[in-house]
Amino acid sequence: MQSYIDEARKAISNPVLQGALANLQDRLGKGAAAAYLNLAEGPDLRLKAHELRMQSINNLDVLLETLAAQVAKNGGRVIFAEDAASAVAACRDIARKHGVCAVVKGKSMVTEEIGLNAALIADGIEVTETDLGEYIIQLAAEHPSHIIAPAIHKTRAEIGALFAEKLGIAYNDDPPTLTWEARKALREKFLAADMGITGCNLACAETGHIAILSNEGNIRMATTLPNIHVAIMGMERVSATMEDHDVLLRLLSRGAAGQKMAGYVSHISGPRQPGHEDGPETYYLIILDNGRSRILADKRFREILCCIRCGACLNVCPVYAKIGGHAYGATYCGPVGAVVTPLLAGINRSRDLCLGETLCGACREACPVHIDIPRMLLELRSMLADGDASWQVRRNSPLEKAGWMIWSWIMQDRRRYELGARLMKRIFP
Amino acid sequence: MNLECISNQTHFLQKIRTALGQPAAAGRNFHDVFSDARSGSSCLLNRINNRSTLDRKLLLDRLIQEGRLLNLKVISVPTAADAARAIAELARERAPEWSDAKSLVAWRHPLIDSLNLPERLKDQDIPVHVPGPEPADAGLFRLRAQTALIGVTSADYCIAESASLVLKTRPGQPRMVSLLPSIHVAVISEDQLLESLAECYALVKRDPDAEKEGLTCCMTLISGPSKTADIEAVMVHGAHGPREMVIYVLAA
Amino acid sequence: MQNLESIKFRPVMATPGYNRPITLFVHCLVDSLYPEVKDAVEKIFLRLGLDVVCPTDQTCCGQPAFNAGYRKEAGAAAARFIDIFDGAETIVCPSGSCVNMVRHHYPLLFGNDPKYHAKAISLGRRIFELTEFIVDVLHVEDLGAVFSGRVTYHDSCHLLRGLSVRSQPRRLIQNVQGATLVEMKDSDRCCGFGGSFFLKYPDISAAMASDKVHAVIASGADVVVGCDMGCLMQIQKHLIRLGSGIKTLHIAQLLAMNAS
Repeated sequence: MQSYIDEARKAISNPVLQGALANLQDRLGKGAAAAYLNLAEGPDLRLKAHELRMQSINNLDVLLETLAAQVAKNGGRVIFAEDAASAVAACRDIARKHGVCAVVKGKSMVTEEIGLNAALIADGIEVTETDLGEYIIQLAAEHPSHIIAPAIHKTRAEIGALFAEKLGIAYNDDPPTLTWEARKALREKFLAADMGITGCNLACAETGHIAILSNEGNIRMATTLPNIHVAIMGMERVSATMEDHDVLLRLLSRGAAGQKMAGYVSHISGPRQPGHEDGPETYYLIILDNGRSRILADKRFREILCCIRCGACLNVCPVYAKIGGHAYGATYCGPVGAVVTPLLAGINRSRDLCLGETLCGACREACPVHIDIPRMLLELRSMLADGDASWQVRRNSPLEKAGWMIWSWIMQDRRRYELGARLMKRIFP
Repeated sequence: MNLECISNQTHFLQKIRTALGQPAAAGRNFHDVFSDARSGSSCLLNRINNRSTLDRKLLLDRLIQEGRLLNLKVISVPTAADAARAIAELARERAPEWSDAKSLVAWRHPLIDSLNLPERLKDQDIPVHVPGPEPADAGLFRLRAQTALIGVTSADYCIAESASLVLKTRPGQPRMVSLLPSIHVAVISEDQLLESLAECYALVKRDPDAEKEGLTCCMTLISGPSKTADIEAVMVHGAHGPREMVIYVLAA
Repeated sequence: MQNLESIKFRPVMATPGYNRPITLFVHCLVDSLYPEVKDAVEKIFLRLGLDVVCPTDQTCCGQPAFNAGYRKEAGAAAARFIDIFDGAETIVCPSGSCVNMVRHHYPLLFGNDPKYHAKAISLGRRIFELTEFIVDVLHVEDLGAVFSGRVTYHDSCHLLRGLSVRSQPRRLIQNVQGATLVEMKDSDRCCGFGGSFFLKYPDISAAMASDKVHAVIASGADVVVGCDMGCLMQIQKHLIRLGSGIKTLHIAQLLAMNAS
């Protein structure tokens, strides 16, 4: 994965990006830490949240069955998609069935993961990303570089030029002005769209609702104005009760942006009811596996399914701060990406993601559900070192293995160790 | 649910059960695995029901304080007439964004009805539109909401800790009123204040009156005006939702 | 390295009540490259009037192999470590990352070996990082050290997040006569050493180190102190690269300084 090192180098030598990432971490990373302190229960609520999430993951079958039944009772339709292809096919079918011409999308990592946009566009459907950061990178034909702030790598001048070119407006690089130009442009899209597609921050099994958070209001727009709403969720994004949601939504808001609560939280149970003036007439919830059941089956890695995709780990990782999101070469970047991407895309292929961190532990400390990312990185490293049959991992470097075997032999004897030390002194004077 | 859906679900869940090392036939049910937490809710409901006027005043202070951090104006007013007057002033001062002429949209709701906004705004020639009783009226109402300067709603609750309004969706109380106009004004009563999200959820889930209705098809928490910091981390208010928000709290 | 069996000294500062033998785990970086740090540790215990034993057979705790993913090799080193230090009542080590390895990762290495698993757990309770031991076990915060100058402190990752040691080194520094503790920005941010990380991903490591040394320089300190030699090596290298005259010191070296 030479691209990791190359992209990292590019990012490191980009002073604008470095400044943006430093500023982001200073604000959001420190903001989250401060916000955990203002929890009524104190920062240790994260440990309780960990237990709640693990309990959900350990009983995922029960939760999904309950969730599906409740959604159906509420008038929604549930589709279980085992892989990316079937999820995409389901969306395309829904769009075709309802004669959809224009789609508005809320930010959804899962839709990136399955490559949904390209498939819909190939069907001749107009797809507009509506989260401002996602809209910017869609116009620029780039990939997001952060889970919460996808366009953090772009300057106001770049965005100004982009908007001048794509929206046909006079050049301007004032962030409020640019934001309000996007506000105008996207409002047209919201009002005209046939279908809204969103992700799902967290589903609630007992009620059958999904909670979707935003600050911009684009999720509200996309789930209120078009006639059809399709929500896509990773199968692990469900918890049991509203009491769980109370804990998790407060932690998610803090982890993501140091907020007590996100600006907008939509609790969506189903389509519009008789007598309602707005809301979609049809609502679909697509539940996606796409490799998650394999992660679930391995107790070493099951914990990563607790992740609620807040981005808190990105906001404190000193490696991410240098290399930016593109170096990870995948949908999920940052510390969580360093664990999830190898497990979804292949461990040998993603070896730089497994090896390219210092295991400093800042991510574990920042995580609102206290996921032990360093522990799982160490597991991945051990799989690369000695191979692993269950995940089809080849030994990464027989030469390196030989080197460590020699090291081990040296360490077994004091005299050999002293000789080795003298050698070290020559190499590192 | 058709047969294909059923078999998809069965196969999907089977894969999960295998991954978890659980027996093929579903043996566990939701209520066996997940505790009910009923006692916790009763505590919260008791606290809400027994809340004193003084405690509610403290919640109001908290709400005002939290609102300040979010660029959310919270104004305590003695009567509905005061709220109506303030809304009329707001309409006078603000310039329209989505059309040349000013207009308002509002919920059909006893508290909002009592403001008598159409009368209040007559002298400024500002029409106030409320959803009509017929389903066919919905399309026209949406066009009105699209061009309105201010959307006036009430709410079900208001959570002081995070300055969050809680709005269920009902006929006559569409979501677009708090979403499409440039300014969102909410008028609530002091006795709708809650301390925390936990209290809100306890009410929705367990309060005998509220639990019949449940969440409704969409329950929205709104904590301030729309905002984004996606361009160079500069905070801007007014991304897609209302760029300004005011809550008038009537004394109970 | 000196072959010392045990050291007995006349106490300079008596530590009330504590008279148990201490076993020193020197750890490989100090053992092979920085013997002056070992000397400083011994001087500190001399001042405290405590007996220190230093097993001559010791080598490595196995951390480098473990972090690189080579658990079998790490396990072999760990088993030997356990054999050597099993009988020690208290073990002290001037490295947070080594103590973290023993306390938190040793049990994992012996999951299939109940005997060594039990020994690992027991050992984890008896091993301490140097400043952790001085402050939390001996209840000493003033070692009578003297140093004139501004001192900034770097929080090593495993020491801070693995062992939760944050205030102990700072209290010790603050009690050094003539020293002023000046905090740098983001003292708890990783310096980029990361074991073999600095070898495999040198550009990223250097970029992280650059941020760290800029923070050191901006603090106005004369000296940067830490509890882990790996970090200090990294920081020193990059201070030199930037042409800075700021020196790095292991905390043992600072605490061992006196007027004479």
